[in-house]
Amino acid sequence: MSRVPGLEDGSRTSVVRMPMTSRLIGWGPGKRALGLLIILVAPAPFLDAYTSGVLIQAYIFGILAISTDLAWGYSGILTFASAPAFGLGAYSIGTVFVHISMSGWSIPLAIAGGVLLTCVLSVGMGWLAFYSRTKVSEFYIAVLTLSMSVLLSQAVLYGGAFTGGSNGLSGFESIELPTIAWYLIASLALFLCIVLALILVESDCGLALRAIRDNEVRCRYLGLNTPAIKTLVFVGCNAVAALAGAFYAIYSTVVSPSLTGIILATNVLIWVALGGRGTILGPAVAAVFVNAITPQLSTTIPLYWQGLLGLLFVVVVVTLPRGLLPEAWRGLVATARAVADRRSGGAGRGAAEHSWSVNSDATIAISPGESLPAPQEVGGVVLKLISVGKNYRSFSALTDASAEISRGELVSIVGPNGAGKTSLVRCITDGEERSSGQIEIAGQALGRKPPNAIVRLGVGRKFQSPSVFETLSVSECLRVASWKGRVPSLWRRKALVNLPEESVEVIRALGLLAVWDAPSRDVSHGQRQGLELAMVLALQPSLLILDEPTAGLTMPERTRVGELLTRIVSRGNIALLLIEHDFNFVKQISTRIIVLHFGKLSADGTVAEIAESKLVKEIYLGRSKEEAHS
Amino acid sequence: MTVVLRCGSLRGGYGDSHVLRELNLQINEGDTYALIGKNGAGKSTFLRTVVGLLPILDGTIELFGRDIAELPTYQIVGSGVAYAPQEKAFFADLTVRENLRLGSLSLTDKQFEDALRRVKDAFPFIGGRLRQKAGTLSGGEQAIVKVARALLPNAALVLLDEVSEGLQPSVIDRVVQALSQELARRALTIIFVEQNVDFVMRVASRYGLIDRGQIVAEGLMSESDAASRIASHLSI
Repeated sequence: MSRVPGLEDGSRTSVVRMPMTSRLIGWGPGKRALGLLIILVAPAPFLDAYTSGVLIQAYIFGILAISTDLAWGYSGILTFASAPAFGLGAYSIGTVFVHISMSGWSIPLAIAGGVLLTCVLSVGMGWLAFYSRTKVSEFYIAVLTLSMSVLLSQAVLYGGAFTGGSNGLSGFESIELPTIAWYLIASLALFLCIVLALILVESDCGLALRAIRDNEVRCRYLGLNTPAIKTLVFVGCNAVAALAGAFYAIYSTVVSPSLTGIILATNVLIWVALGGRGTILGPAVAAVFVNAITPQLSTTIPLYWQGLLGLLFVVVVVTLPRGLLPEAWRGLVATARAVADRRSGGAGRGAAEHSWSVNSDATIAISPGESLPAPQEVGGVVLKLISVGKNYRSFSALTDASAEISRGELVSIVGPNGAGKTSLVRCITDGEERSSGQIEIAGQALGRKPPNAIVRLGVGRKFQSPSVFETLSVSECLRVASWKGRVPSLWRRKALVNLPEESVEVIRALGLLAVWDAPSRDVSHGQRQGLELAMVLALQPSLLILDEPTAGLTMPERTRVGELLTRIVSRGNIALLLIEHDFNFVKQISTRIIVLHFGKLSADGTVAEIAESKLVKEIYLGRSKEEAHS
Repeated sequence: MTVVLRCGSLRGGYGDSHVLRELNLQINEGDTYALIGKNGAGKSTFLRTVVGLLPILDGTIELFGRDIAELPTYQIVGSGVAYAPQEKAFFADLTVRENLRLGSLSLTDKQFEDALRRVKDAFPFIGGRLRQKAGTLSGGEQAIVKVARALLPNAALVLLDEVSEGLQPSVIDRVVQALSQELARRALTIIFVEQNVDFVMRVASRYGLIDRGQIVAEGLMSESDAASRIASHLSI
């Protein structure tokens, strides 16, 4: 392991340590949780029965808002399933308590039944929405869940005596507890829900959810099985909603069709948007607040209160698009900074001069890590194309392409714009793309495998336009890549980001440490190119496919990247397939060049052979035929 | 000499981060100006600020003699600016022709057809692809359409952000030719942001070297030391 200048040498790994984030509030997570618990529980002895009742219901709806925020705010799944899931949980309690019995065994059975039914339905919807191989709109899941909500409302409405029809079921025998006990249970349930949700979103897994929301395609090409992860999140959130529904029914002894319908489903989305999507605490606070004031407003201004709520929603969406809590927090941070500035005599005023402060507590570790399938293996064919073809309807982008590429080779594919270069890359990296022929990666047939499964065969792909996670910081993007497609921890964020030396070299060459904490959408195009390259190198693939990796880089940066690529390939355990238009760059670093023209492999030879061929001069470099012949 | 664009102590960027710091620049009518700098120097941020996609955090931008601080992007573009962004910004489900038409709504149908004829002459491949959905073009083909879309509306100021990226050498020659023809045909000012130094040295008349959000040097491409100054600025 080489020592990299500027990085400390650890006992087993070289590391660069970043200063800890300065915190606005010096409280650790434990103290914050305790504070939240006190806020929720402390009022219990002072509340009258009516207020307690209102708050208990508000807390239950707070749980519902949190589950929706996890799905929508963090994972980008616009879902109306919260209400049908809540309704299923509630009706399972209502129907069992009314038609069977309310005894010791039936309570857990009814809860489990409602949750199980919700999970089964959610798996079905998830399979339909997230496993579709054809490109479906992100609104597909919204339409699907909306339909489910309408269907379930109709089912309970016309369920006769079993569901109680439009009146629902009410006044059934349930667990008898004093109001203060119910209040404490509801407070604890909301507290637990907030804490567990915050642990999840702060964990590596929470980062994976944000990455999927930002750029699902990139996630798949980093090996993450995104359909499975999205389905799990969707099912989990609905299970929590069903539990909340069961709690609601046990406490209130009332279940009605409105608990399954689109009004509740839409309201939940409004609470989430009002409070601040993707903040957990914001939606919880908004849900509790709106539900706590609703009984009061509905009696004092019965005709207008819903209109007022709608107006508030419109005002917040227009003026504070990120929601109330994030904007309030931003204001607080700005005020705190201003106060700190004044105290330090304006010394902090120059802060804006720095581009991006490096204040992450993340640490990069250069370590060999666990490699993908046998990159230690030297030599041998890693990619075999057998008569591969790709058609877009009647247009044939690629015809009868056959070639072999071995470890230790750096093969460039050149050809005019539209020759089929990117189509070939698509065929290699996604089993569904190929119209005809066969592809083998290290002796294994590609079949119709999805991109994430192909990554696990040892294929890493960098896209033509840099494909990173726009709202994630540079360090977070690299962290996602460092997992190599494995689902990360649900409850913690690892202190170290394990990256191979090659990735760190790209990070240093393109100055990514200077923008370490910047959202990747705010860094320059060239740095995004470098970031994606570092991410793909983190996979330690045995076949590395780079589509114009140096576009947008300066000449010195190109040179450094070229040297790096040459060095990686010279180790003999990796094959590199490069698409590039800079012919000088191609000539400098390639061991072989393949020419694609009108979707056909027109030439395959050494750099000298191809550079001097008439074909390349004519079709690619655009020289005149006479010049080429001379 | 008519001033097309004047920036005074311009500051711009993202959120709290100022990428452009006290940037001063004047572009005159007929200039073909290459903005050259390393990655992250603020080149694309500058173009995005000029067209109103990023806010002016401090300082001024005057476009055709008018302060654009409060103007939304569509009004800035309407005043005679065409912008080809670095990313491939297309309406993927619309045809190439529809994409081109949307980029030149200021033209009448007849003017559009005339302009389209010129673009087809410059880039013959476009003629055969007008009815194809833009999203199904290859990356390089989209790059050509992007240049064509910027040239179509007869805008007085054209901003080109890394347009040579992803183009085969022979097509870059065609772009150079097309730009030269446009410059000969009408009053046109172009600002290039480019990493491809060879390309800009062939088309630009002036250059500005940008570093950490400031123009640190300017000169004429015709000057004998232009190539060496640019190379040394980029640490080649």
